Amino acid sequence: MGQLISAIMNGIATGVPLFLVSSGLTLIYGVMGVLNFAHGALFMIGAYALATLLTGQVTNIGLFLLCAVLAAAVVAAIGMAAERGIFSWLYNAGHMINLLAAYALMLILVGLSILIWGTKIYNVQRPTELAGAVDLGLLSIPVYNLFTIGLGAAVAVGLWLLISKSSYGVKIRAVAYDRTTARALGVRAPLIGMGVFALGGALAGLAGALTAPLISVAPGIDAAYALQSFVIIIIGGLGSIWGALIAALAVGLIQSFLVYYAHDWAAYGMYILVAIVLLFWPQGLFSRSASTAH
Amino acid sequence: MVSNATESEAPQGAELMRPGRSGLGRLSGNPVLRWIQNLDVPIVVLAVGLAFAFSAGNVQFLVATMAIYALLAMSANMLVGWHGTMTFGHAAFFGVGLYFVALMRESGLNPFLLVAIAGVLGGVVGLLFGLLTIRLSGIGFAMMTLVFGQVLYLLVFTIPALQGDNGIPSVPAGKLFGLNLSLPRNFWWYALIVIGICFLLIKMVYRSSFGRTVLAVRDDALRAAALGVPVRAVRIMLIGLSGFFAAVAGALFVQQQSIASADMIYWLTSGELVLMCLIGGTGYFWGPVLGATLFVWLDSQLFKDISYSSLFVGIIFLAVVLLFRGGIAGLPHQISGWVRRWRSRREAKAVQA
Amino acid sequence: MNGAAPDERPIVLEVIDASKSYYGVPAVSEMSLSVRQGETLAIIGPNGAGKSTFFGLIAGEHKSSSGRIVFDGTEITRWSANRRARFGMSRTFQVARFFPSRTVRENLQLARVGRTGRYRDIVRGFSWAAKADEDDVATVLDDLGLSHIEDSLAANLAQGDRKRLELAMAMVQRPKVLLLDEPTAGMSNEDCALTVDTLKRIRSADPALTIVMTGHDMEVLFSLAQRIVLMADGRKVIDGSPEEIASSEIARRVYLGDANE
Repeated sequence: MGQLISAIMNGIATGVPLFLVSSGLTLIYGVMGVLNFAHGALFMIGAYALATLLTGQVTNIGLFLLCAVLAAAVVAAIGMAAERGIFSWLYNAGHMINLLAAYALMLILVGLSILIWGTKIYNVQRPTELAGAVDLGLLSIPVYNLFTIGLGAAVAVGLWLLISKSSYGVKIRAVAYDRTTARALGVRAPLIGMGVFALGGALAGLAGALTAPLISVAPGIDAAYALQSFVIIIIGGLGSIWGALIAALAVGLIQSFLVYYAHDWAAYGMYILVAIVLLFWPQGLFSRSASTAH
Repeated sequence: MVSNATESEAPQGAELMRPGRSGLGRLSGNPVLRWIQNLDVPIVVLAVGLAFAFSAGNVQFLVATMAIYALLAMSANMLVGWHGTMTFGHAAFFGVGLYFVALMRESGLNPFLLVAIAGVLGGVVGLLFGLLTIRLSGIGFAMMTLVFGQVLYLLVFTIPALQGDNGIPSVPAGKLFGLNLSLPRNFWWYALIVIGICFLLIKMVYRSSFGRTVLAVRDDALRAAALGVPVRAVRIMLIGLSGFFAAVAGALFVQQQSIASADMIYWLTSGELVLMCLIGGTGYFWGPVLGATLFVWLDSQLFKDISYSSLFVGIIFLAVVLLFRGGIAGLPHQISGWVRRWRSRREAKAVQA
Repeated sequence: MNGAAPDERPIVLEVIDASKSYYGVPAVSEMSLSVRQGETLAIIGPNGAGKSTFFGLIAGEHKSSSGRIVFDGTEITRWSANRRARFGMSRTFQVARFFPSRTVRENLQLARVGRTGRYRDIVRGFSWAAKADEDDVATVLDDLGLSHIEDSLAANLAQGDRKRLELAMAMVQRPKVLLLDEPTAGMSNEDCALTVDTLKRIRSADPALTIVMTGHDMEVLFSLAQRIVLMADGRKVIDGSPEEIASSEIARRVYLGDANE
């Protein structure tokens, strides 16, 4: 029983950074029509940025959070620069060209990362307050997991408020639905574009910073997270943030369960899931073809 | 671009090419040029073979590698350029050929036969994949190719016989007509002939009614369907053919390199293939060959010891996507377009003056 | 067969109680239609009447939510558009669609390939195999006044030529049923007159050909069709000869939007 709850908690905690990365990816696709192949690289840069800011030291939670936010801001800036420098020229070029441009961006960002940070492994320490585990008798849950879940929930709520309740969210949804009409109605589409890329970048960077203490920060993590986020947004439905949430949690849980109960198959978890989902819902769980049309 | 038709059954590769006057598959009006166009494969193969007939062993090794990648890129371009369908899992078919021959390393079978069987296996896997993804298109399809490629990649780690990262070493090239193919000189001729035959076959498909239909589907899949073309079946067949040639490339590759390992089929490798096609020019028959040659040269010569080489590859790629969508092969047409526009602007100014 | 009285000719296309809804909103409701071989039929109606959707149901572009479609005695309700085309149903599109990277002649050859099933051939060269259809292609090019531009890239065609190419591609398939989606949409008066002439020629050249048109240009449709079907709100309102429709009180009310109707 304890192991079951442990697996569940672990799964949810794994799913949160996946959700953060995927939500940014699906937002950018839904609004801008760009399948951002570089999203994994943005995640990685967030992790590297945090590692650089913390310089391997153990800190308190306040400083840790501050540095994580700074790392996210750096990645947000990169996202905006990418939008201005690359994607603003490709608004009308169609999904495929934008996808290829994003792939090129990924290569550039990965190359720059290796240039800046080299190929050695960076280690980031958890802040002291979050280092231990909570002992609940049957099981013990790492405090960091709880922190992650809490942060994830906060971001999810924040995103939801932004997209559905704020006027900015209305503009975002308008551009996602029909860019031309939105512009005719006075929405400043280029600003929305910059904002969405910045937001997507910030989410990916935050995910990278959050995950940094749990992994070895080195070249290659970009590809792994990129891959997972692609599969997640396919499962959830391109353009749907709800879908990204459900799918990310599902993937996290499946992987967690497989690790606990059928270790050899752990890596296949998300592929099995996507195969099953696409069999019954070819457009993903939450796709609304009209509103994600571009 | 809000439309009722599904996120378009129509592949969107059409933007990558500027058909214009030198559109894909156009036979020249000039009879001399036409003869050259029909015999281009034998001419090129012969020219290349002779050019490197007496080169040093390591040069022949490099050129053979380029040729293998050229075949692989060509097979990928059947989807990307001819059909307008992006694929990020092509390395999987390459892997089928690669690992089949690696697993058969102790069989002592004729290397040519091994390559042929590997090809058929790749074709079958391609057909299966085509069937599985029959309802998908565009981004969804591209993502599934990624997934498919990665599943095969994972299998290499899961199935003990395939030995994952460690790789399967000591795969012999074999003996053909008594000649030991592990000698670069012998392998060069062997590979050239096999690849030459494949190119002839690919050219044949390209010029066939099927090939023309594929080009039509790329232009407007809905129109093709309204004319009676079973668009889905055509794509499945195309993926099968494409898989065949990719697997042949994989088989040759392992015969040359003597080792098969998982990193050869990681999804980033598939991405490189798309790059090769684009840089060379997806809209031209020989485009992928140009792209593959350039890419292998850059990778093995220029960027050999640079750990951050992907920065330069990315910049080149970005330049192609933003500015030179016709690729290298499309440059003449692009430049003549610029010249034409510059001339007409000059004439307009002269008239105004 | 040609000499048979109109009502004795076989029914070549039959739609029975077809319906189609989008997200719960019915576009076509229980529409039935019987078309006899050799008829020229026009489907008219105000915007939103469901003509395009109904047209799409016949062509196979949309799948009906209920009802049946029978073509030449065969049940084709579940058939895909390409299967219907191979069976003898050719259609044109409102905005001309063709293959821009190919020449005019190749476009027609590709239309033949779709009809004959030669797309399966991965061996024989396209230009070589196209010889079999050369006569058909040359005839249609001539009939539609496209011979002088047969080697031009379709992408470079002028607007009027595009619609002609569109029609040529359908004709070269030697269909049993020709579906014309707004054949004169967006045309200048000149092109319109030319198109009407061409269609009249096609009509008289092949009495066995069945033509179903849809559109808004009353003058054109009334001059070509022997039978008009008026649709409104997804249903058939009246079905009769051009004279009957023109003098019908109901038709007038449909177009002028009487609230009580």
